[in-house]
Amino acid sequence: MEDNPVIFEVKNLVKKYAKVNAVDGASAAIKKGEAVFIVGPSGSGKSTFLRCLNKLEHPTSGEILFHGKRVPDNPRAENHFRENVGMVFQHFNLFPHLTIKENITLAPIQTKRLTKAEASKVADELLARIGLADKADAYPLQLSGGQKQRVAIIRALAMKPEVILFDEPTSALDPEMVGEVLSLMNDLAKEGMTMIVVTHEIGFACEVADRIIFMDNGKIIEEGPPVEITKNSQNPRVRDFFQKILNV
Amino acid sequence: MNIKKLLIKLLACALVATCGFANAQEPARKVIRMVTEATFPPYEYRENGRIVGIDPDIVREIAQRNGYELVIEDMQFGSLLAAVQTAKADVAAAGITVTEDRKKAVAFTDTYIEAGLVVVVPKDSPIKTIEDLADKRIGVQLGTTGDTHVTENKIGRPERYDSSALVCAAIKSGSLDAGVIDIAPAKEFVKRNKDLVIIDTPLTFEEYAFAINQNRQDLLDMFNKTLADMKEEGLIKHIAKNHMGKVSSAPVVEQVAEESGFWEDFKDDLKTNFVDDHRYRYLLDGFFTTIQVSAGAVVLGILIGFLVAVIRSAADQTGKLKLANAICKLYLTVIRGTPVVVQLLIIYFVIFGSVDISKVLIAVIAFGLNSGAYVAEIIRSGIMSIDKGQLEAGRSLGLSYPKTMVLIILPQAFKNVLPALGNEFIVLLKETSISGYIALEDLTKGGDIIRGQTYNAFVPLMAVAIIYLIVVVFLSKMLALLEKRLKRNE
Repeated sequence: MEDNPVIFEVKNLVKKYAKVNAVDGASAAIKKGEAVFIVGPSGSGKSTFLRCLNKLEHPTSGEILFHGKRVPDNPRAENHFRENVGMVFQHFNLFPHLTIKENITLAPIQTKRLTKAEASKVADELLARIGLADKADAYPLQLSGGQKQRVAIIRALAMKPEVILFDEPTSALDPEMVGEVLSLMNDLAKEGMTMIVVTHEIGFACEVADRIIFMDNGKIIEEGPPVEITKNSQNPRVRDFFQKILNV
Repeated sequence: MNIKKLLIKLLACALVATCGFANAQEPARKVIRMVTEATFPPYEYRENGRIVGIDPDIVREIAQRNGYELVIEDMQFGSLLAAVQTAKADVAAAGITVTEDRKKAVAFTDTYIEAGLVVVVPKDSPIKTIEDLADKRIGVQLGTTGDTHVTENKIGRPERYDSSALVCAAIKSGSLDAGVIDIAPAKEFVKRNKDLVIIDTPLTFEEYAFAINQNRQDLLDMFNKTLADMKEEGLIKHIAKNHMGKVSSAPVVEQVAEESGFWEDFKDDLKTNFVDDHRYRYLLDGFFTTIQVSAGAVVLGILIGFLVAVIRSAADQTGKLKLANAICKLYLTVIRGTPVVVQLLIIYFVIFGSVDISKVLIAVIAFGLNSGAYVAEIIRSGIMSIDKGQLEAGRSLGLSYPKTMVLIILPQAFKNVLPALGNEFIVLLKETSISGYIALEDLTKGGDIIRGQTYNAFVPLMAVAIIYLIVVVFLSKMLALLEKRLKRNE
């Protein structure tokens, strides 16, 4: 993985809201095939950092390079860029007026990444993979939370993106449904999908992450392999955070 | 009508009893209530806010000589005879021509003045004779003999206005080719408007009389006696000369009084209002016009509404389209800040003043523009009701803003606001009933025309109300079905 190309390079990213700096000078690089987990206390700027990556938020200053290039601020370039960067949301954000299958095939067909027939085939395969083939014609409201989030993940996958961003994907789920979603994410990581995950599931992060980024007050305080960050950190703020969480 | 008559008598008794009780100490004030339509100089018009003219002068004289006070009320010409018939008024005096049809509804006094119908045209008009009127747009005042004459004789394409003054205004603005108006007011209008002339041959000669309720033989006798006295003294000629030139007296008008059962009367009314002269066609044609205008306006309103709502939402969400957003805001302010009647009249008289364009199209444009403003705000509220995550999900999948809007946000927004939209369309359908202001013969105007011809207010109005009601109920059912269909994913 050391030699893999860098997909995202973030340089001194700042995102200001009114008076608060949600992200306050964060720099990082994400390589192809990496599973990077961003952790830290609530309000530390993790989600804002993630949302800046696919330009849902426009940074106040700093630079984000995708394959070494800035994505220009015009709709065409941004739309094309986003086709390659999937995103999974805390609240799933499935389209309630479309069937499960339509949810999956809509974007690939509309962006002309796949033909109708191809999109249909891909959707069937992905649904079969997560064991929801029988729900193809159901509507989102008929699914459980865990099922919805797994559909949201394969909806992102259907675009065949280079990287998927996860924004607290299990925070809105009932506890008994967290497992099925994490298991699907684990599979994706093992297959080599590049993933950037904001989460509070520290245990899962330790298990799956190639690297953990710890954020606090909009700054990246420390980053490294899970064990280094969670067990051997020299930074008292980081040590304190993980001690509290892991000793519960 | 026996029940009606009985009720009126009871009411009158009650009134008299109350008045008598209230004024027990002094003699009761005797009043004659006269109705007229004060836009018909020199017979009746307003001067310094007061209603004056030949008719008020004559009736006031009659009232005074018999110890009555005169109270004058101004109303639409088409409603005058109905007011007398339902005893809302004692006498209608408004340059009313005696016709056989009208005699069925009211009793007429002796005629007191002769008059005629003439054709008013612009100065440079190619219309020189009555034969030239074929296929031309001819303005008449609704419910007048001019209206009846051109309709029955199928002269040109008649368009019915609420007053002769409006007819002249429409001729001047180029919306009409000619107008058929009574000779006396026509002369007045031409004197005041140098652009208008009267063509040489008059259409008809007619006789004017006062209309009195058929049950008021006492009042009729009193009027005829005093009228005869006044004629003898030359007073009528004198009064008329004060206001115009030509005067003469005329023969006695015979009156018919009938007695029959309620159902016979009702059947008779239905026949007079719908069957005779194929009057149902006014309602039928009016209904189709109303449907055309409403349907066209709904489509135009939805198009404008969606466009404005999307521009406004996009401006709010992306901070772009500032100029378009400002234009939309101006449009919303102007349309929602002015009455739809005024908008309709501005579009007809000002914007399309000198263009020969279908009135249905004008109404569609006016009501569509109006409805668009309300639809826009309804749809915008629908867009705002959709979770922000839907937009983000669409955009993060690489869909453009317009595609996200059309494929993801609008279908959900539309479903959420369907009840409010349905309500707007029902309001719109009923709002088109003001189309009569531009002499478009919609359903309501159709009822007006029948009332103007039969002097019966009850039957045509009820028919019109029932037709609107049926359409609205049908629309509501269709909307409920659509709502149910759209809810299948819940």
